[in-house]
Amino acid sequence: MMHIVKRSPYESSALSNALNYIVQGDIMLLTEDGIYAAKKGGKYESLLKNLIQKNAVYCLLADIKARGIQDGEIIENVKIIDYKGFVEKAIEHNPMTWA
Amino acid sequence: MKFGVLIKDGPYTHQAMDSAYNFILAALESGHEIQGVFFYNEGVCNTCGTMEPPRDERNIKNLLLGLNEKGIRLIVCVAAGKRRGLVSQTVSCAGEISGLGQLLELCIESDRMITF
Amino acid sequence: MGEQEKTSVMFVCRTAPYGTIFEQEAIEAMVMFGAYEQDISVAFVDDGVLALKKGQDPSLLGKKNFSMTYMILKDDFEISHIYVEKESLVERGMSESDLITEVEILDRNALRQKMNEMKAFLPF
Repeated sequence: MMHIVKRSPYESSALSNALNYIVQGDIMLLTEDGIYAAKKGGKYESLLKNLIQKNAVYCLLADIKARGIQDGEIIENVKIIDYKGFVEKAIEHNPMTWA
Repeated sequence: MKFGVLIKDGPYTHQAMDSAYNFILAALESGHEIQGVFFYNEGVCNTCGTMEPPRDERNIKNLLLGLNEKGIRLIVCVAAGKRRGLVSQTVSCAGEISGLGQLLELCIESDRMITF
Repeated sequence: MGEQEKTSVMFVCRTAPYGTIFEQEAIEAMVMFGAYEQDISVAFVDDGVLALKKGQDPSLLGKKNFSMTYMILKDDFEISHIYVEKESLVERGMSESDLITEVEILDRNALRQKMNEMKAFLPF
């Protein structure tokens, strides 16, 4: 499965709920306000770092750029992808959106 | 690969329609098909035919017309639409009003369903 | 559909009732899908479990009590499974006896396993 998280972890339970359902082989995609989870130095940094040990985590380029977040501000090993990459991942993994 | 798309959030207030639009364009560019787009919950409001945002702003009505010109079906749930004042007179000409059965049909006919 | 394989679709209900319309419009979709003879599951997780609480009376809000529909979802609308995530119930101080209808209570791992069988998810 691809767990799509599109709400900010600071205002929504979407990220924590998605984390409850992510298992080996699954991936997570952070989009829209969900990308704030991947910001270095933020409250969710250690959570994300733990997750990356087991699951691939992606965030959408258009959403981080729009929000003034530079590549270097994204937690290491979170992969930045564009919409074509998003489409690819949605083919490889069955998507479920956590809003 | 055939994608079915479900849009549940309204226009402008949320980013859902914009994200879905970019996803659809990328899918088409990569040679995939969009089986249909179903509008439900507040998402039906994306198909409002009378929306008129400022000229220098993206116009969701025009984005949908563009998708429709590419042959993509844009299906507006009749019940969710009526509840929000969207009927044949107020829905964009790009939209097609139909029942919830069409959402299930999309799940059946698409290889992948994705929700925005 | 006859001999053709059925499509497995799972509603993932994550929102509490009344505060938003998501639960109500999810029910409207469940009821409609029942007529199509597919394999439809409904999973209540997170705040979604609150929608199943017994004794709801939204009359003072001027709203209909949609929770009654859950009692007939399986028999009248041919929904295959109603799953409730155990952890979400416990977190909210609820147990099976608080629920308006008979459901299959599963822990997260078991519910996640069920998700592997689904072709499509409809989150509400």
